[in-house]
Amino acid sequence: MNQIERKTLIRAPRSRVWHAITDIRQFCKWFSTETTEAAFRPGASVRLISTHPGPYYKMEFFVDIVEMAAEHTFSWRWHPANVIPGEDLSREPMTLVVFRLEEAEGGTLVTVTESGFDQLFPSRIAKVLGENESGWKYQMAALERYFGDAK
Amino acid sequence: MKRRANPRTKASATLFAALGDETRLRIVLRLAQGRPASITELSAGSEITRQAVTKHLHVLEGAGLARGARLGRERRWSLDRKQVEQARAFLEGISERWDNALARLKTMVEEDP
Repeated sequence: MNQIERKTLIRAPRSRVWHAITDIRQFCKWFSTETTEAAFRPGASVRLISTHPGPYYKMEFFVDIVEMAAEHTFSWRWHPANVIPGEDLSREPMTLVVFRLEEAEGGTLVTVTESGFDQLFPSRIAKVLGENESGWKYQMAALERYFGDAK
Repeated sequence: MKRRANPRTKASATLFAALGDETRLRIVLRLAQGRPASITELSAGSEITRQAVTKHLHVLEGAGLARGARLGRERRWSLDRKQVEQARAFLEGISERWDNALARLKTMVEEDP
């Protein structure tokens, strides 16, 4: 329950996928963000602005780059689901996002994990829920999917 | 004036921590099947002792995830679905964002290899 894991198979070589994830210009395209920074590098706190339509539009957020191991691992820490502009998050815990690339039949398998949710402050959970509550319905299958994965 | 912690906030504080344990997850899934269960029922067929089940139920109760109600000679435990839904909805929202982001990454790379 402390971790989310998502996978996708991309029909392209690992070097191409690595470039799409870690080259900041390409990253901004699919992550729906813009930035004035030139590159990601380990140790950097990179300021990004969301261009995704919806509640996050034009919202600024930061990713603190942890690791960049060529064609293998890219990771950052951030405050997930930041919804209040200008909010002081300095005392709140962060989650860790890790991208892992593996060669697979027919292309490259990308696995994203986000962990550290048990450290999050309740105020953040409540805010994210307040924003989306009306759209979510109870499903026992989904419950089992998430809870059953946490081993 | 006496200050009191908002019980809802206090409960969510420990929500994810309470679920971060395999035995407690198993108890939650068992209770999610619907019918309230006694400690005897919850410890039957597993290696977990009644004492351990009791301890875990109290953690779940503290996080607002489970409730015990006295029925005759024993307490029967059930899930507080609102709390469970809150935890699930939070993770579902974040998962959905990752699914969307990965779908955009895949499209971009595959259309422009």
